[in-house]
Amino acid sequence: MIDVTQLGGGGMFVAVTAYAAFSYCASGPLIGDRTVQKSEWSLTCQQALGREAKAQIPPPDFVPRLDCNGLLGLFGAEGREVCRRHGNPSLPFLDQALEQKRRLDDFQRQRLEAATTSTTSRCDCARAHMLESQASAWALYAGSARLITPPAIKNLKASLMTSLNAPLCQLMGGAS
Amino acid sequence: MILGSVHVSETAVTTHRDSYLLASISVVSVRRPFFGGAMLIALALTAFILAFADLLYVGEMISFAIFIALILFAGTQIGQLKLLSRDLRGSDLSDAIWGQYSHLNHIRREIVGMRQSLKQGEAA
Repeated sequence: MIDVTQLGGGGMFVAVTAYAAFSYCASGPLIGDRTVQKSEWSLTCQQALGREAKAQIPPPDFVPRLDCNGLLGLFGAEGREVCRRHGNPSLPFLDQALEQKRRLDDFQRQRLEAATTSTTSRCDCARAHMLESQASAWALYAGSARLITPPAIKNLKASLMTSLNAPLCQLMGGAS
Repeated sequence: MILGSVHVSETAVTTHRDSYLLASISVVSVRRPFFGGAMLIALALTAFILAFADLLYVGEMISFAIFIALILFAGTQIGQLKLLSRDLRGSDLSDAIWGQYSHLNHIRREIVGMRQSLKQGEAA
């Protein structure tokens, strides 16, 4: 038969301490990791970083047509006649300008590709950073068996986005 | 099962460290010091498993269940026998013997029985 008088004492203190330590060191991080995994953070994060990277690409530059027709065509039939007679040459520096534009476009494309491939590490960094910075919240959530849900866990996506923009994770690369 | 030894004779209780004259023993107490803690941990872990069943793997839940069973078993089985003597109150000599709860309870009843027969012998 259970003797309720045997429930108190120093053993209870040890048990409470042991359970708190278990929640902080083992069950909290485990439940945190699984909860983030279940929330499909990886996909959300990569989409967000992809959008962020695309938003940073400047709009294409306007390159006016600077050939003979483009310039002398303004003067009507006479101007066009001059161009017809002498071919339709471009201005000498125009080819160089177009080549430079092509190089810049390539550079932007490579930058976007690099940003997209490094999103995984940045997303992982955000996850690890959030789990570490909110360790007490996760311990409370796991230890109380979901009876207490701290605000950082209630607004999980906001917490993860905060961690994603934390200086530590910004250093991991990505879109910025 | 007993850690150490206890021998109850007609006049004294002899443990692995001390001997107590039966006439001087005022309290014989058996407790389960880990019972409360074990119950608390078992209840908390059960609640944990039930609350997070959607996030835990089956293997993890089985491991937790085995751990809970072991903890409950240890909490109910481990006991502590204390022999308190009026003369030794507050001293370090009040001995504690660790062992199986049911076995220690049996020894407690044996000591009390011997103590009663000693008193009856004195009265006669």
